[in-house]
Amino acid sequence: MSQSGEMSAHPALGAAATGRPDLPGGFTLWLRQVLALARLDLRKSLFGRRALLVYAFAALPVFVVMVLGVVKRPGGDPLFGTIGDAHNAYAMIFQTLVLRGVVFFGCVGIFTNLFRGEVLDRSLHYLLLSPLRREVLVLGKYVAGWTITATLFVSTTVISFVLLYLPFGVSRTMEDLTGGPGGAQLFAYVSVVLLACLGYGSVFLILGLVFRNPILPAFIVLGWEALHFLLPPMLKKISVIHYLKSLIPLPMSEGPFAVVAEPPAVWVSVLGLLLLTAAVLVASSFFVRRFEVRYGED
Amino acid sequence: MSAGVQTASRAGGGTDAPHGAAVSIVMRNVSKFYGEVLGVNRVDLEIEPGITSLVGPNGSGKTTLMNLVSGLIRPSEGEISVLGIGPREPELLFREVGYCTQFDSFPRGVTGRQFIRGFLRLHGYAAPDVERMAEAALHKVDLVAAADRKVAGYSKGMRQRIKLAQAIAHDPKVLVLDEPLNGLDPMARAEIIGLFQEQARQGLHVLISSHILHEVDMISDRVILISNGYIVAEGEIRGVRSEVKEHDLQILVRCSDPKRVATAVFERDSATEVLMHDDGGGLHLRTRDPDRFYDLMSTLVLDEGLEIESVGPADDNVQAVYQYLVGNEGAST
Repeated sequence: MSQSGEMSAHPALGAAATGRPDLPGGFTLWLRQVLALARLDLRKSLFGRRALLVYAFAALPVFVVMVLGVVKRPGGDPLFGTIGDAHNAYAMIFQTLVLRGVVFFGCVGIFTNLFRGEVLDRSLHYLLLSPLRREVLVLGKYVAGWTITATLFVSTTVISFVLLYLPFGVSRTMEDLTGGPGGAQLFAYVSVVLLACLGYGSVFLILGLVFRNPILPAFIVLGWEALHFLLPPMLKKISVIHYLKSLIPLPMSEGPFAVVAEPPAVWVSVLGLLLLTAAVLVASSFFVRRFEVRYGED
Repeated sequence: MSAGVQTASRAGGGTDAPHGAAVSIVMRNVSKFYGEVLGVNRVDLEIEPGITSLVGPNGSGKTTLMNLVSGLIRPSEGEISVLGIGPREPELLFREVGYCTQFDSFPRGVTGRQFIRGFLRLHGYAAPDVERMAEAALHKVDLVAAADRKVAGYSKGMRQRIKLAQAIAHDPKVLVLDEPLNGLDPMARAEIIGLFQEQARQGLHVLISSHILHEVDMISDRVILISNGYIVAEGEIRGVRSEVKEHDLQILVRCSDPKRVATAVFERDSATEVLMHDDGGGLHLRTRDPDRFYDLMSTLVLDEGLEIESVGPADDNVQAVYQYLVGNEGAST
């Protein structure tokens, strides 16, 4: 039986394929392999006892917003008098707790473990012994990490944003989400989370590949991102948060010491993050090509 | 340790041949260093289809050699080709190679069936093919009944078998098996050995590392003896034995009149030492010239009517050759 597409071009394979089922060639094969890899990681990360910790961490903003929703001022009034107050409060929660806390550390935990976790579990060799192009291996792992983080953190963003309307009732909530500014803000927050997972994901994936203990480099990235407002405009451009900030609907003041720089246009932000992600994934693929399994050293 | 004995061909059929014609595993001047620590040094091998056993003490370089063949590690020097495919083409190489490693570890939380299916999906097979191939592999290692249990709850023998199932599930042309019989009970060993022999009969390369010498002897077409990172000897075991000149060949004779045989071999200088069996029905002798001894035995049978029950070499097995070339360290019998 012959194999189709690019695989059939290899004489050794053509001779050896007798008795085996047909395989698709090129892109279809890679797509199947990426999905198979993603499936393995999704099962590992989203199901099982360890996943409960991830869920609890991702749910942190939801708990915070729920608490804020039921807390009353001393006079008995709700904490947010108007929907505008609630939007402002959420902008603060999103930029501090969601983006710099849950999404950042969630991406650290999930993406650095895509390869490092396999090394610690001593199961990476099964992947390296599979007929995968190393680029496909990196892409499959990355897709898995992005799917996990995007699912968790988009969910937490949407749920916490909607819960913010708790004191205002269903009809006002629907009105603001469909006709008012709420819908556009929610869309922007979700987009920022998706792009943050893309950008931070690629950075932490390569840290997990290059370093035996990626926690220290991850903290250096955290410091860089946290202090980026002090950086000169040129250096700001090599931080993920710089591109994300221009997409946030209600930006926060960065204080009197911030070095002011022109925020990039939305298309520049999106393209910049995509290019950063692509560059880091290419570098990761290059690194994985030289990867050797020597668990004893880890 | 004795000087190295190389009996197999060093001709360059494997790597020199175009992909379509390459049928060997070929290593050319391959060395692997871990920093300053030697893994293997200047290995030249050409491994043909059939069962080839890699024998050596712990730390001799067996696993390094297998990891090199399977591309899990890269050589510091030299070239490796498996059926004409290099380690830099994993997407092609691992369609042809199945590797059962020594690592007793598995992806977290999987059942036996999920384990096999997951990795068949990585090959890119469609769902019905994955299902069929996984069942066939589980059936071959007799793990169908336990396939839906978590691998973490398997016994050592079951974990060994599920690793084997994963290695053979995609119907590879080359099977690399690092201590595959470890942890298996005698019944399971016999079944798994039968499986290897069946794969070899179908023309596969089966490369096995083991330190259980009598099993190696029983199943191997060829052996590679390795010690301290160097290939000490390789080839068909009798050929290897005949090259070990510094140890006289031992021959066991069971016959009607062993005293007459003993007298004859000393008269014609065909043996260096003779030990008579206590039961008076045979003798054990050492000779430097087996051809001359066998000629003598023919004469005794044809001209003098000696009745022979059996005659054959007593030390052309892996155990003896291993002892002569490597010593006693690390191997079990």
